[in-house]
Amino acid sequence: MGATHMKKISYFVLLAFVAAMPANANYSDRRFVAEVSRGLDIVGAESNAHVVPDAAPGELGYDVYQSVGVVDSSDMRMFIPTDMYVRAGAGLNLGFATDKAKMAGKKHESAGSYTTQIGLGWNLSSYVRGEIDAQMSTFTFSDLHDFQANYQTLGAMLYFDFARRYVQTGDITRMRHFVPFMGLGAGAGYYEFEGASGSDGFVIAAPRAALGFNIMFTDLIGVDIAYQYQMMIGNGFGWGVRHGGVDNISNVIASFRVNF
Amino acid sequence: MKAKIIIGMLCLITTAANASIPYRVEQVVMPAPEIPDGNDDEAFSREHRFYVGAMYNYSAWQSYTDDSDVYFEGKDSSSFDIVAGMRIYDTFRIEADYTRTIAKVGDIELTGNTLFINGIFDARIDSLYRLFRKQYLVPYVGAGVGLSGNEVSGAEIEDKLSPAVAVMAGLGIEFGEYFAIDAGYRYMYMFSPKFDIVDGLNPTAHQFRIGARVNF
Repeated sequence: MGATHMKKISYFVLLAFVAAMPANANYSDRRFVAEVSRGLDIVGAESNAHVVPDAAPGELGYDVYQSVGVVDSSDMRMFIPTDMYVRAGAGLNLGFATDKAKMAGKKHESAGSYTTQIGLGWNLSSYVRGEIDAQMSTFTFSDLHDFQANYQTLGAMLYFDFARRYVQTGDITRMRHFVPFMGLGAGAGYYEFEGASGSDGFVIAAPRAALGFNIMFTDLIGVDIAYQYQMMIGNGFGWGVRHGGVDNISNVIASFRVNF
Repeated sequence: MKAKIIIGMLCLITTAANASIPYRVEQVVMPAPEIPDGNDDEAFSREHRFYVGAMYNYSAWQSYTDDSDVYFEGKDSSSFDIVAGMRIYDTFRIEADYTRTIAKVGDIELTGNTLFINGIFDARIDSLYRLFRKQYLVPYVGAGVGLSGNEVSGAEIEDKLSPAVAVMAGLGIEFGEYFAIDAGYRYMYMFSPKFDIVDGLNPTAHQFRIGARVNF
């Protein structure tokens, strides 16, 4: 008799538990509305402030937050591409690869001539860069101590890297530190051979071409060393020379490049 | 007994309701952050929109040979700059730059009050790099246009006011968010004020500058 009653009571208790279970199914609608209307963080903070330290609550939280494995290695860093760079440096003129200036029928080789360069560039893709720059050149010549020439030009170049800067293999992106490049573009500005009957006026450097290499010390900082050729279209190269024609100028320019 | 089992089974059926999810959410796009998250284009400039600074200026003036083949040797001079600027973005700022110009070419000494408006690009890393790095060195390049009110000794000039242009590059060394040392190079070119004793002299200098900036 006693056992039968116990049996019935146990069924009753079981029934009470089971009957309460569907109540769980009602949670989500109201909860979800609250998460959206009041904000997931408020609903989550209320329910979890003293309970669970970090798990994002709710269905919405499950969607928004995900835990992923963290790679902890000094060899690996997050790959973050940069959009632009600044570049500044100076160059020396190659006298043997530059046309000789003429004065009174004699030719004078460029010697001790130098250039400063300031540029602003865009990393257009992992192969291609665009750059605008200002170049200020001072030419001095052998056997002509009191005469010099000055060029101020603004230019635009398109650079092509010979190797992809960033190499993707699956999820890992490797960065190359050494990347040779070539560039092609043009410049324009003003120049003057100082002194009586010196050539001067508007000048176009077209084409302006470069061949060089870049070494990046970090993701952001590196140096460029490049040979630059310019074909100057102006009013001559020297003193008392005929206007017109083209003159060839070669420089080697070293500069710092900083990505940002 | 069978009735009891049936009742029990009926109760169990209701638990199946838990299996059905009454709604389904699918995240299609991440909502754009309405509140700046500290990694945007103005994260630094929003906090420090304005700055002032002063610089010592060492100028190497270029020599000039005029059309009569008279040689004017360029000399070196010292002067100073005062700048006040505004950051538009973290990577771009404009500044008003007062320069005391002291140009020495041959026996001519030109002193000028020169005002440049400079546009400067800072290589300040933005985007996600900020999460991983702290930047102390911020290189920059820039260009400026200006006017110079000049007085000259050793010659007469026709134009008291001459246009000037400049390009510059340098390195900002930042000590915290309020203070920075600035070391840089500037190429300055002044259009000729039309000297009476030398024709076509455009005072031109390679300038090496060092100074400090304070951010607000």
